[in-house]
Amino acid sequence: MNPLRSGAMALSMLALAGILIPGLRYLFTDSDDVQLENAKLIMTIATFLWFVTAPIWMLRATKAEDDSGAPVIPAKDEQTDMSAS
Amino acid sequence: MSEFEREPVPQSSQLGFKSFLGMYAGEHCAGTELMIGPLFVAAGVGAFDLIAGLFVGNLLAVLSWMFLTAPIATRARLTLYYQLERICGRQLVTIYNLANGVMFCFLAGAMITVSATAAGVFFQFPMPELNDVYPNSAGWVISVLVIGLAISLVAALGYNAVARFANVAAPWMVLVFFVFGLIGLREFIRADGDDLSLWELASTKIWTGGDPLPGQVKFTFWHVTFFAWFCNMAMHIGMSDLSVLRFAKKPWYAVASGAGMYVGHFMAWIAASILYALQLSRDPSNDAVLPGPLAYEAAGIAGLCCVVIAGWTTANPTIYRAGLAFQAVMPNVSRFKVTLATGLLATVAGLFPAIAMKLLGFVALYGLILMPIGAVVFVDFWLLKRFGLKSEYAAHRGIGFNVAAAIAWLATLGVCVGIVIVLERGDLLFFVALPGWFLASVLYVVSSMLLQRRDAHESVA
Repeated sequence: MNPLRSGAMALSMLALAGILIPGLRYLFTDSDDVQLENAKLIMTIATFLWFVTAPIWMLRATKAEDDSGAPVIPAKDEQTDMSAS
Repeated sequence: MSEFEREPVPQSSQLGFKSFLGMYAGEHCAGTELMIGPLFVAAGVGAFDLIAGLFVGNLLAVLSWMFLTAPIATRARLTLYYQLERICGRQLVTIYNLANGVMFCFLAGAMITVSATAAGVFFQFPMPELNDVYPNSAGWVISVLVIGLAISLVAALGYNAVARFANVAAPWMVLVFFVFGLIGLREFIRADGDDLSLWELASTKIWTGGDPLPGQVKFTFWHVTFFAWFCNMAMHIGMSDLSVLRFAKKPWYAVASGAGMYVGHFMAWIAASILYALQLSRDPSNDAVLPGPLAYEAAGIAGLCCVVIAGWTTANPTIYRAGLAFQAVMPNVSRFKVTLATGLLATVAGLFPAIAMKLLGFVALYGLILMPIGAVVFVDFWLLKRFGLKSEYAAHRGIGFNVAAAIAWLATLGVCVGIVIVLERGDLLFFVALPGWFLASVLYVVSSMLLQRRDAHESVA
């Protein structure tokens, strides 16, 4: 895997952690130190990070599969196309 | 790439288990989950009834995929539409497509409604209440129109880019749904439950049971079970997923549907219902089911993005599907025009909040309408030959309209809907599909027997 994709994947995982961990921390921390507003801010940043980094490796992975000729499930939508038949 | 629309999927194109796992997990975590979860709370569901009902109902749904859909899919390896054409004839399939398209339109309308509630957070216009039928503000109308038009245009231009975006969004969206539940739970603990066990908190504060909100049907364990089982009835018992599972190497791969059921229809529904229960506990007079404000309250901008993306990525392919179904009826009109017109129809449907607010009943009706066709496919594949009858009769006789299949479909629908109307019990909508499946099966066998004997006599004469 090339460094760009590896880096993007690592950042994507970090983004997913940025969604999950604030929620878990908010649930399990008794003190009021963990504020909901902080959790929301971290989740917003994590969301931005996910949508910037995930397409780099996820879409390329999809394209690579398409190019390799490996079979994929055609979208159900396209299979309803009776007019094409 | 060949999609094998009119031929069995060859062995070289069959797929492994993982392909189905990802597809089902993504497909069943949608914008409508944010409506369905809260509507359970509005229906006065109790904690045990919800948790146990969802567990059992989703299990039954997975078993339906495994033992009804997948065995036929992996033996015939044909799309539902081609198989139906061989059984029912092209004209009846066209009527089926029309019914399917109309239902898809309303479903897409509900998804547009979900997305439009996010706009209300920013623009602060009055949004619909739980029992509203008509749009209640100019802001709401403008918001639905803008979002609906954007979704329709993208769907008409081709949905591939959105489908890819939906795949990218799926893992993030599942986690945001999960976090909705965590944050809602923490808010309940802070408000009420420091000295309560988790179960006490769930059963006395979150899903308290008791009377439903005004205008809603009371939900028990059985309602939840049957709803969870039948909300995707069109896909498993109705056999829509023949088109997908025909690619599976083994029938047991249909167990992958469990990923969709227990992520989308268990975790996501529970999480969304916690948020709504929290809203009601804070202000009992605020019974509006508005995913936008609910999500924003829990997860801020990330939550709001989740509402918009969940609604958009599911409304888009739904409009596309509806457009294709309609285009089969009007093959000479371009796909762009048909899809755009379909999207506009869905947008108009989305203006009326009654569809989204009554989503539980609508989803049950959707499954009910398409269920008898699934029974016809099942009986045609497994049973007709045992009764000495010809299966795939339309293909065998070269006819465009199999009367036996039409009788099984329409008479079953008439009886099921008739029972609900005559008894004035809207909640029976969730239950009539089960006896209806057996009725459709019997009707198809009997009417096939009569039809095929009559045709045989006419041929001899």
